[in-house]
Amino acid sequence: MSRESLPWPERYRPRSLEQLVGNTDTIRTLREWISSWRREIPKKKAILLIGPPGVGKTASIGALSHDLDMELVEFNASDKRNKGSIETTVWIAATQQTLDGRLRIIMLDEVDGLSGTSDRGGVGAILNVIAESVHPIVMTANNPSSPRLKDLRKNSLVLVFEPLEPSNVMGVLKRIADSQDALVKDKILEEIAERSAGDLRAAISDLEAILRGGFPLEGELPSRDIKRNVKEALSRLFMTTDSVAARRVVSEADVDHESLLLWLEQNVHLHLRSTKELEMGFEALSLGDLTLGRIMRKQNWKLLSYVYDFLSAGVATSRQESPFRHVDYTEPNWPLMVWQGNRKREKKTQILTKLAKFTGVSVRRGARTHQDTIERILEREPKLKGAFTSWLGIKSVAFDRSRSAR
Amino acid sequence: MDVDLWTEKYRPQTLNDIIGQEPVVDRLVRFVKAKAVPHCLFAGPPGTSKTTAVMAMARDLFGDSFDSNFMELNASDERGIDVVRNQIKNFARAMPAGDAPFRILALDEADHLTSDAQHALRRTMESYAASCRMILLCNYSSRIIPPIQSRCVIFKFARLSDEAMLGRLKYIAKAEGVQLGTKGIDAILYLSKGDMRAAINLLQASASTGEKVTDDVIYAISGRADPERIRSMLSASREKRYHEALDILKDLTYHQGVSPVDLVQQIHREVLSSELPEQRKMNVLERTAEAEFRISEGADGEIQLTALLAFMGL
Ligand SMILES: Nc1ncnc2c1ncn2[C@@H]1O[C@H](COP(=O)(O)OP(=O)(O)OP(=O)(O)O)[C@@H](O)[C@H]1O
Ligand SMILES: Nc1ncnc2c1ncn2[C@@H]1O[C@H](COP(=O)(O)OP(=O)(O)OP(=O)(O)O)[C@@H](O)[C@H]1O
Ligand SMILES: [Mg+2]
Ligand SMILES: [Mg+2]
Repeated sequence: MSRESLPWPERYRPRSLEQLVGNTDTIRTLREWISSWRREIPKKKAILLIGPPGVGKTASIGALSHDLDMELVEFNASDKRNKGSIETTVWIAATQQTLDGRLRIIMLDEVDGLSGTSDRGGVGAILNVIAESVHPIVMTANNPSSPRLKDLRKNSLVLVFEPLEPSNVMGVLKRIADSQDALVKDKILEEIAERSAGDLRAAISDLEAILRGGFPLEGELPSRDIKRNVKEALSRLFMTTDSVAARRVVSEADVDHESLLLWLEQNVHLHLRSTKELEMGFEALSLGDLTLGRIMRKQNWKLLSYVYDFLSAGVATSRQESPFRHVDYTEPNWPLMVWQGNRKREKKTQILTKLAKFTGVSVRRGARTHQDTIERILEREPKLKGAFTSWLGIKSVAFDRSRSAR
Repeated sequence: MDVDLWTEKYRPQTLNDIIGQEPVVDRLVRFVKAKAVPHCLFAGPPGTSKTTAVMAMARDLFGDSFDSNFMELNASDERGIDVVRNQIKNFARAMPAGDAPFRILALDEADHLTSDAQHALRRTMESYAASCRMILLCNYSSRIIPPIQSRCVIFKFARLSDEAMLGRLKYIAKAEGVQLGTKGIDAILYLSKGDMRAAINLLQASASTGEKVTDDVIYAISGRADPERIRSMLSASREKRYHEALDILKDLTYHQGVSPVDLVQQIHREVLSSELPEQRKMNVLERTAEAEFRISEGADGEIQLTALLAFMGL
């Protein structure tokens, strides 16, 4: 497989530190710390690189092992990392010398991706490995406030990678465009760089997609920045006091109701500034929350549409006197995915399993997207039952059973 | 007898047959031509051809070796981290069959992967990029963790326009020998709101009787009321002509067989787009939500609806 055919972020993955841009001081500190292992084992035997996606955390470790001629052993979130597997594989790599006497860099990539369930005991095991290691251990993570990092932080040197400067992103994009013999207007490169918010991997992907697929029609690249998307939606939501407009803003916003609720709770007071407005706004939020609770209890998703009413129209129309102003929204300070785990599993019936196979829709949604239609057809034309059952390859009683189950 | 779900029978098999998504599809076609596809994230509402597009793209790209080079996993059913660490990783690292440049893994409903499972995808997408490209499909991209978004080119699928839906519905109706009038089409468009799957399902269900597909048939089969009737009922109750409002209600529930829950939902839709003053509108919506909840909890639908209509006259 040639390098040519790789997606560009991999094709242009830096092989040497010289090819990395930005975060120069941080990368220098990292290099010095690893080099120091040649002289003696330092006090802190692990380093933790924290920073957003696509800024060179993983890439700098790869480049360093090349430049310093050290062996690299990698463990990442795609590996099982519970207590047992770390105490065997990682421990062996960390505590034994290499065959040729070189140093070995132990990369524990994506440690904030240690799974709470599958990787039980992982953090404790890593701490033990750090204590015993004769090689430098380098960890990476995105989320500085991940609770899984608490103990790891205490036992390592922490280095922060910042989002890359637009000028750095532009530089790399230009180099790549040149190497492709592609003429791209600076304005387009600037727009890519701006949209990437310092994520160079995303910027390189977008450049690849544009050079190969053409520029998106509306002249706008979709943004990956969830926070920015939510903030833009909030701002547009509060700009209007019209319920229909508010509803439209939210339905076009690509923000799910759970995130929306949390962001609103954190920020409505910035726009609803009188006591009365605030009271109304929170009443709308509380109705939204109440309805969400009702949905969750019985999986009655038909009510979801009301949640959106309360969270869009309800909140926006509460602003009756305070003039609209641009404000800085703050991120909700509790996790966004709290409700996700509470979902009750729905019954898998034979019909749904088969339908899922044929239509690409999950078993969970099959009843809504397809089974209802079939049942409606059969209600009118019972004769067709045989035909449907043979198409789906199921026994015809399955239909009767699913009827009585619902 | 031959039978099929029309949504499947008429699922476009090649990118060029996908209707009304030109901004996205044009770019995918060029990827196929260049035999270079980046990792992608397809986001958009239900029934807007995300699954269709990924399968069509793979078919266009792989031709005969489609079966060995394409895998689809529904993340909503296989959402655990172990699936990502085993099944997905194994697929991704195997070399493509035949002369395919790489394999394609479609992760449908990826927004239902737990965030742990999403993390486990990160390095797999990078390390095995040579042998496998991942296409993630979801309704909301905000549920995909940032490092995964960083690894994807993002494509937004929009709800289909009335024109696009109309063309497709007419095409299918013709192919199936179904008589479909303008009012029938309008009714389907009203009920399916830019969701092509819903529209086709509705057409098939309505056609299954063998009669001409009119708006009446469509409202009957979908168990919904003609929105005109709902509007009349609402204005009657707003103008305190209760008897008239109740007569319509009775007719809709007893004679047309519209279920109370469906009725509340249609009322909801009309209230939203009505000219009521904003504050009033919110109060009515609140009552509407409450009525629907109570009905779903087992309260008597007729009583709840009557009370709701009475409230509107206040
Ligand atoms: N500082 C940089 N200099 C040059 N290229 C970079 C830099 N940062 C990122 N890239 C490009 O982006 C790709 C991904 O970078 P890298 O693997 O270092 O990301 P990361 O910081 O580990 O992100 P994540 O947290 O998502 O894993 C690289 O292969 C390279 O193409
Ligand atoms: N743009 C389109 N052109 C023609 N047919 C379409 C189009 N979009 C959807 N359809 C029809 O609707 C059916 C469902 O579409 P598809 O499975 O691609 O939806 P989806 O976007 O993946 O939805 P979901 O989010 O619910 O998974 C297809 O089988 C096809 O018959
Ligand atoms: Mg990384
Ligand atoms: Mg789909």
